[in-house]
Amino acid sequence: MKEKLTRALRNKEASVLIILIAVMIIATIFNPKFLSFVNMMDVLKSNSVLGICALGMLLIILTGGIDASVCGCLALVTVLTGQLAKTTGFDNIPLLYVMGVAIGGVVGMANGLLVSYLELPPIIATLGVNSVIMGFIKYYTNGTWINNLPAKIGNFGLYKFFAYTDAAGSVIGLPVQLALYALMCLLTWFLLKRTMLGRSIMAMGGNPVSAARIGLKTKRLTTFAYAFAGMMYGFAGITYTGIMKCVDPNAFLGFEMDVIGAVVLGGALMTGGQGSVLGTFLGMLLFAFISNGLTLARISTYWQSIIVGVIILLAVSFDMFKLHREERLQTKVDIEAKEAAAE
Amino acid sequence: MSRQQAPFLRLTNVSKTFPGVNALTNINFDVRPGEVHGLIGENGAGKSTLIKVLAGVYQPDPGAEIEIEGEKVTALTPTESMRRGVMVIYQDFSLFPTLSVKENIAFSQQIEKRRRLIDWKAMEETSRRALSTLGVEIDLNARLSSLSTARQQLVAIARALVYDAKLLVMDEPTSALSSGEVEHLFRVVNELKARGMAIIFISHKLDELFKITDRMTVLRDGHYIGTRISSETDTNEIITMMVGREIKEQHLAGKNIGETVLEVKNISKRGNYQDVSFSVRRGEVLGITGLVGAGRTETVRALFGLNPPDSGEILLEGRKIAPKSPAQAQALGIAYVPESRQTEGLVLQQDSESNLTLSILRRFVRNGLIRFGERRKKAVELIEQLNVKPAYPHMQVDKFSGGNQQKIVVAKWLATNPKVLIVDEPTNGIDVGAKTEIHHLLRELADEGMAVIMVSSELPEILSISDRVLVMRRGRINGEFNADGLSQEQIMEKAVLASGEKEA
Repeated sequence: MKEKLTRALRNKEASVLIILIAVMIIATIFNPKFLSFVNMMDVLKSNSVLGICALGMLLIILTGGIDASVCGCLALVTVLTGQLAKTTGFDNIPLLYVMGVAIGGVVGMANGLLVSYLELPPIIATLGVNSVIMGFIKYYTNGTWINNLPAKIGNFGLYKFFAYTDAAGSVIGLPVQLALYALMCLLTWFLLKRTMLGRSIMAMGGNPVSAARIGLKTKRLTTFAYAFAGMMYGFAGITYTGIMKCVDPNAFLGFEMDVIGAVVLGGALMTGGQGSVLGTFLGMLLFAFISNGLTLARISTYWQSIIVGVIILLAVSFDMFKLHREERLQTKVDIEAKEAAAE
Repeated sequence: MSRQQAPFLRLTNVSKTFPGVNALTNINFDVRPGEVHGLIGENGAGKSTLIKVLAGVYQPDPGAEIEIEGEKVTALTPTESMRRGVMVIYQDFSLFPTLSVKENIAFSQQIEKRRRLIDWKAMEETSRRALSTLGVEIDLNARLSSLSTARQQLVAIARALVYDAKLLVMDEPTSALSSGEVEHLFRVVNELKARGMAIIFISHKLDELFKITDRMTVLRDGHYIGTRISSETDTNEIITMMVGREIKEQHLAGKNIGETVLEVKNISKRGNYQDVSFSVRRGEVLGITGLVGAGRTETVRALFGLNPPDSGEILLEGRKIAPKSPAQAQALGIAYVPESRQTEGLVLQQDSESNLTLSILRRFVRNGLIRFGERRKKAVELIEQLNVKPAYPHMQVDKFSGGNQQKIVVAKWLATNPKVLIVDEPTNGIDVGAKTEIHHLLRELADEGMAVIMVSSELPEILSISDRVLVMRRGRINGEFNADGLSQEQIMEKAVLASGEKEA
């Protein structure tokens, strides 16, 4: 029993949970509204896009890679689908999702091929792809927003499950975005826990050389991880358009840092092989709660960005510190016991 | 009983040449079911190459014959090798640190079955069976990285069982185990042997080989030296086979040995070295040898501030010192030429002039700017002093030969006028002519008043220029000799056997 407890505590997810609870307590002290159902639902709704993207990024980080093209991928998905919806009045929500996922998948696939087959460093490959896309977006949109989307898209974004109107006249319920996010969490969890594909990615991230030795197709696995991430961004992009009812081509500048931050705060190791859906969910919550808590405490957004940055640096430094410590304590020479030498 | 059985694997005339190197020459070797066959040889004797041939990683040269279970195998690829039941457990185990124990054991089986979804039940069943065959209990759900090295090794063995291995090749399996863990491993090995598995056991440690093996094969310089039945041979014979006929090299003895410069008293660092004491005098070359993993490099790095001891004292000219970084050590007058000169000793993309003057760059700086004329003068001087060829200060360092690269590294440190010069495997990968030149150079530096510490695995090299020789074994100094009249056998005995264990 005790052993189980210590193992659970040593668990990365557990330490994230402890920090999360601390943040929630502090935020509630500053502003009791923080813990209200309405506020919680609002926070989760607006951060569901971050959460969905983080699931994709998780897979890439598990391979030991990183993706700097989140912004470009989201911009491409939202601009192309938004333009289509505006000009033709196309408002079939499921089909828009299919298109978003397909566009994102193509971008992700391009990243994956560059990283695995051309063996480009992930940061360079994805930065390059991002730059190409953002250039195209600027040329195509001139930086202007796409407004006046079909009403159905905005209505979809407002949809709530189990909705009822309270005495004050506001609608309370489970936002559709949250349900979609939960669905994606479940899908990713199933992939990572139950399928050979997911387990192979975990194995490869932990030890690429051995993975190749036991016959895993590491290039294909890596490509899949990037493509999967792209599809997640695509899914998130359509969800975002539903919330905003319009498309801002520059809405996602710098968003990749938030996404990476959520995954890292969730206990994933940048070197690969370690990380989980639960951890990433908690990381997203931590990220969201810190921002929301600071907003409710009326602290400016500049401070939010500084505090989030410091927390990410601390989290990664802690991992590195632990790694160096383990390395230092590692036995390099098997030293003979004294008795044997004295004989 | 096993002796009458047909061999599981037989190698005849196996050779392997790499450009410029004969890694293996006409190896003949066989291993039978239910036999533990020891493979022994000095560093670089060809053991690793031989394993890679067995694993199908290297293809032997034409003319070689490989027979598995009486059947000739023409092209042994990695998959073919595994399919026929050859499993190699490398020193790094090839496991997945972030996965659970059961996945590590049974993952490959799931790949083979081409499953899309994980069959956790089957994995659990398979791994439980494999571990119970070994007679060990390990939590199947534990994450691999949380296990000790010994338990990880058992997981690696269990995985081999899942593959239906008939021949298990274990590369230095005891190198990271405590003595209790070694006992346990031996019980497991004996159990596998009783089940009729053939086992190749590679080790540096003679005492262990005598305990566990049925036969032993000795390799030296890529050549097959001979196979002996363990119960019918002794350590003397095996050591003689390992070392070979003595080649008397010219011994360059010290001319002016003076007072003690550096003294080390009982320094210890957990998992690195233990109770190490020695001293080195002006004008003396102190050779430190031993097998790989004996703690030689770990010890000398301590003197250079790279691997500081937990306890014990280091005295330089009678004053206590405790270097915590290379910069401190250099300021104290200690220089260290590392084993891997390409990665640790040189800036390969720069020219010889910048490399030669890198450690003393500060001397040429006036008003924050480097005075290149002075720097050039010093570089040319060093090139002449060490006879670097070609004598081009502007040639990029990676275009020089290995021997001349080594001279550049040594020269770089000479420029700092060290009192103690430490060289680690100074002639690693250097051709014979340049080797002699480096030996003479080290000797000259000592004669001019420097105290030289040379770490080397090559016994002829140790014997040719050392005045005194330390032999390390398992983190301790196991023997100290005067080089005069010393033989390779005497050194090898101290390297492979605990003191007073010779009668085995």
